Amino acid sequence: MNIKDFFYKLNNESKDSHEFILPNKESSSDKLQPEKMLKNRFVYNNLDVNLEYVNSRFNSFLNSDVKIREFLIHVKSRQYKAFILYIDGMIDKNSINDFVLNPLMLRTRSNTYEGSQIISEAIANNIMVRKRKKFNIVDYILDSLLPHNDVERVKSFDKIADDVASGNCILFIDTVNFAFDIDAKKFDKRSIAEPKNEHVIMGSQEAFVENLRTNTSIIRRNLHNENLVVESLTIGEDNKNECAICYLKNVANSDLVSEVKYRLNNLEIDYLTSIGELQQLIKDDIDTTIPESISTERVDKAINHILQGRIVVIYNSVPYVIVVPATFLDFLSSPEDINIHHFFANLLKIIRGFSFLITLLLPGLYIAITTYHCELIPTGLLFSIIASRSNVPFMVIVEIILMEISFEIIREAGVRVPSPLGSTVGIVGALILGQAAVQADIVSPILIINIAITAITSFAIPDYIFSFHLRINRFLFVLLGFLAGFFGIGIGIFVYLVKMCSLKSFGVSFLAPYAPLTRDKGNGYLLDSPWKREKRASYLATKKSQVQKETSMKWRKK
Amino acid sequence: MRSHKILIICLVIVILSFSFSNYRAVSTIDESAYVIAIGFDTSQHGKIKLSLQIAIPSAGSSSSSSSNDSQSASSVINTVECNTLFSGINLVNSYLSKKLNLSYCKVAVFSEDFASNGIGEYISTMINDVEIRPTCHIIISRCKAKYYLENSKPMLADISSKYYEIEDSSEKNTGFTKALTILDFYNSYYDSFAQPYAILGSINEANADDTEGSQFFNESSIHSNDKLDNISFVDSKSSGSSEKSIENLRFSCF
Amino acid sequence: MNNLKLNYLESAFLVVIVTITHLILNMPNTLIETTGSASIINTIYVTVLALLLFSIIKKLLDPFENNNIIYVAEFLGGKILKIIITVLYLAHFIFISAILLRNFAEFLKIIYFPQASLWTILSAFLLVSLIVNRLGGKNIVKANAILMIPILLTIVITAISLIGKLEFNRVFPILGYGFKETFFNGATNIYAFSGILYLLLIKPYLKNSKNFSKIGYLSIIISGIYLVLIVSALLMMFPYIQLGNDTLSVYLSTRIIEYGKFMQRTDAIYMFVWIFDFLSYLSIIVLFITQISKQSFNLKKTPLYSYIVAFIIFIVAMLPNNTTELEFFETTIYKYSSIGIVFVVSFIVLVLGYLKKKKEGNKIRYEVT
Repeated sequence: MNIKDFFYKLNNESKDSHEFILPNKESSSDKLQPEKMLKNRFVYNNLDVNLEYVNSRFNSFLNSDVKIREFLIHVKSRQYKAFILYIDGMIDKNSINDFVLNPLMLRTRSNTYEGSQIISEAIANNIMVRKRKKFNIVDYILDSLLPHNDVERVKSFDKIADDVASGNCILFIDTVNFAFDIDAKKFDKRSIAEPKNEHVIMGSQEAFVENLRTNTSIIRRNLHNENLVVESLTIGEDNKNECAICYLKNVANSDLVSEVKYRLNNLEIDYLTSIGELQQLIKDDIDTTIPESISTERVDKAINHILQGRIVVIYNSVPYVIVVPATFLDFLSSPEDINIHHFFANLLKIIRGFSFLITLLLPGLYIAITTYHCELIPTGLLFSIIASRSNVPFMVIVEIILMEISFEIIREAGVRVPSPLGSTVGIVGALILGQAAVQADIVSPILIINIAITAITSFAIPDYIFSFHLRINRFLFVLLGFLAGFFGIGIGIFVYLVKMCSLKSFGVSFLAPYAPLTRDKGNGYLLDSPWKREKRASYLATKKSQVQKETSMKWRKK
Repeated sequence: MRSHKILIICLVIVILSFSFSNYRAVSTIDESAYVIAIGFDTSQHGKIKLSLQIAIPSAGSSSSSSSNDSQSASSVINTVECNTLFSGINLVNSYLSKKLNLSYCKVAVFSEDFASNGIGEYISTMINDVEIRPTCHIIISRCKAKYYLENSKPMLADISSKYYEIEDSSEKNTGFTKALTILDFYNSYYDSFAQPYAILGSINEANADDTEGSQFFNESSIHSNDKLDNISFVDSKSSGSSEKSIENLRFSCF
Repeated sequence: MNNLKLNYLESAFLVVIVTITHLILNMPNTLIETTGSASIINTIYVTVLALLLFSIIKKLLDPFENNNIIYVAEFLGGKILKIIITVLYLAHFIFISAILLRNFAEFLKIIYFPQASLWTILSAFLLVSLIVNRLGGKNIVKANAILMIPILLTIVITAISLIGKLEFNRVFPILGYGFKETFFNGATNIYAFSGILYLLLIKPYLKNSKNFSKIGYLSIIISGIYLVLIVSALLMMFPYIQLGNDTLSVYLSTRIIEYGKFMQRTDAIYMFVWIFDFLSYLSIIVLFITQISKQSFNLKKTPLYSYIVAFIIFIVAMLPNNTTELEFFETTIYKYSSIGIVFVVSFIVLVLGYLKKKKEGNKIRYEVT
């Protein structure tokens, strides 16, 4: 090393350091002008102009997978220049080759046919008069030269852009002022698999996948009815993701359907990638954390809801669908309920109802009882609680908050732990934290039991987002129980109940059928026997409320 | 919505102030000493000699009940001389670290001499107290109440409180006496068609040579209203055991 | 606030909760004090009287279609009478809610929260009822209908659990203090059904006003059944001489309930349920105060008004200096003001209004022909 270099380095800054700062304001070179100029154009007559336009719009010099294939079309011994535009990896190459390029490029009998089609023939005065169809190249290509099952004419470049981006192949022909939109999509996607998070023993094991068309095909496969309508719309400006609405036209309430379409169409956002966000954007009441639509990944659950008169919203790229409208009791029902005898199903529903109450209230009740209402505890239990708590240095409230927060941390960590370590974390969390904490006299064993029961009952709630809501509100009740005992918890429950009565989910009262207390049949939480489920739920206001005749088991009658 | 939020903030402040004013006075489950039995005796200095049996929940697991040592530490008896029940409790509170809690009091024992002076006012006090349960048993003992409490050591059960609870079911099995509570006493005190009555009990310390057993008692000294009027049933002191234990075998009528 | 539209069961439960709340608090004591051991017969008699009175009320309100007694007052005496009647009802509502609030808060303070100050408990109740009124009147009624079922069940469970301790001898002598005392002086016990005031006011808020008679009969029958149940349970539970001196007799009876050796002193659980009952009742009173003020004074926006009303209730609740004064208010003043306002004044207004309507009806008919 030179001394010169040495002194030079001392004086100047090192040139190895690389700095990059993202500017806050947009620099002038970053404006969107070219995009604005390109919008709202229609297909030109001249092929070269179309080619130039397409190159600039689709950034084909930058994009390595936007492909343009130019060729010549033979039509009736005339030749026209043409090109196809597609994105590599999203089309079925064999189909394009065999059914688009082949009949158009190669000389075959159909494209060298010189004659014209005869429409009608008539004989008058020994003279035969024939009417021939005037030759139209577009009609000829569309009717005779493109043996493909899904071809449309498009004029607008905006639609062309949308369709290319979703995997179509566009054919442009010289002197024709529109293009042909050929749907030959083929891309790799996940196959239909078991549901990962909602397990049922005696039901179907099919779950939704990310691709919208596959999802709609699953639904159609399982619900054979010509009245099943699958309407499609797009959400988002930058990410024009497709969204489909499924309902039974002769059952679902038409006002409900229009309301759903209205809300989905009037979302002015640039992109929406998650269905959880969609669920929150179409909610009625925005100041609560309680969900107002059911989210499911099971196919049979969605089909059951469609047949009851609800509406299913499917979103592309997400394997979950959402069902509206939803009531509170739907969050406590599981798809297994109709598979088993109604007696067992009702018992399970009662157990789930209890687990709802326990998840919400048990820590709060524990702290209220031990702080304010000791006399409620039986004598033996009281003495064992005191004996186990005798060396614990903390107050009950500190213990509870400590253990609850550590449990939430364990749960959160368990989501992200890599699978080889999965069981280790379970053992570490449960055994070491719990056992060692008890032996170190940091917490009392009764509290551990308390927290464990609360956690287990929160897993008994079938809906994922609803259990989140309960987990968070549990802290509120713990605080109320600590501050004011049963009085505080009573106040909390009362305000919570009135707040839930005031919620609506797409016009249906959230605590229906109990909130406007009516005596309609077919509505309640507990299931009737299968031969008595005669009506659909009255709060859905369906067009066809009768499901079964009075005696559905005709074979019993003589 | 704004005023909604203001209301909720006001409610939160009110409930917080609820807690802060209540905070120091609330005795949580650890900071209370639980009384499981009360005894009343006559005394020279004050009007009553109050004995309180306070439970000590044993730490750790209580696996075996074979050793007697574990039971000796399970409760402790404090005695004070005072004028009324609550002044006595106040006195005991002044030297105990934990606050006394009468919610688990199972038994109220009055000695016979004490009862012959009248116990109506003490029963009224106990009924009107928030903490004392109306289902607390009432026993009139022939010996001193303090002696009764000290010697009521359970043979089979672990804690004295459980012993007092289970004891009355043994009375259901035999029929020699009845499980009577202060509520029964109080109600029959006021009812026009009944007289108040209580369990009569004592400590059995019979030796084999004791010849006082196997006698029929028929003392009848009639006093008025709530003073003691002893009518006893068959009394046969069992012999053979050298351990002292409770024997509640009779009624005492008022 | 939107217009309330109540359906059949909701409005019936609205009227029932009035009686039940008073039953849980001090009312059975005063009933038993008046009639002694004849209380069971007396309460059955009073229920039948209330049913008769309701059938008369129904007939008197018939020509007015969907209107309540305030409209009748306006029809009878113009705006002045309407305002007088409204102010009378408002005063009555504020008075009973304040007295009940004070009673319940004192009770909570004595039993469970000895060191809390009284104003925190009072203001907690009132703030909750204000918050809940902001959420909408219809939702209060819905929540009340849902909560009524556990409350009614709890009372039945209380009565059933006491069966082992009841003593039938306490019912004798059957006619108590005498025939005249039981049936003539004892007719004043009809103040237990002061929920009839709600029936007088509720007609415009019903979804289907043809249900009015069914609602009235159902609510009076349910209230009557529970009244008889609680009074008979209390009468047979405690010697009636000492019953008149205590407060909150139903609480006392829950202290005695034990389920074997395991569950004793379960009164805190019952207290839990009664807190719902009381909160529901308080919210309904505030709701009704705002609704009838809206009707009479033509108010457009009610939130500020409900804050003022809650503040007035708070002040009136702090008025009694000690429990003796409170007991005097509750037993004597409440009883006679209830009878006076609900059964005397309203009746007079109804009868006069009915007569005037009939006269006008005849007049019109005469003119047409």
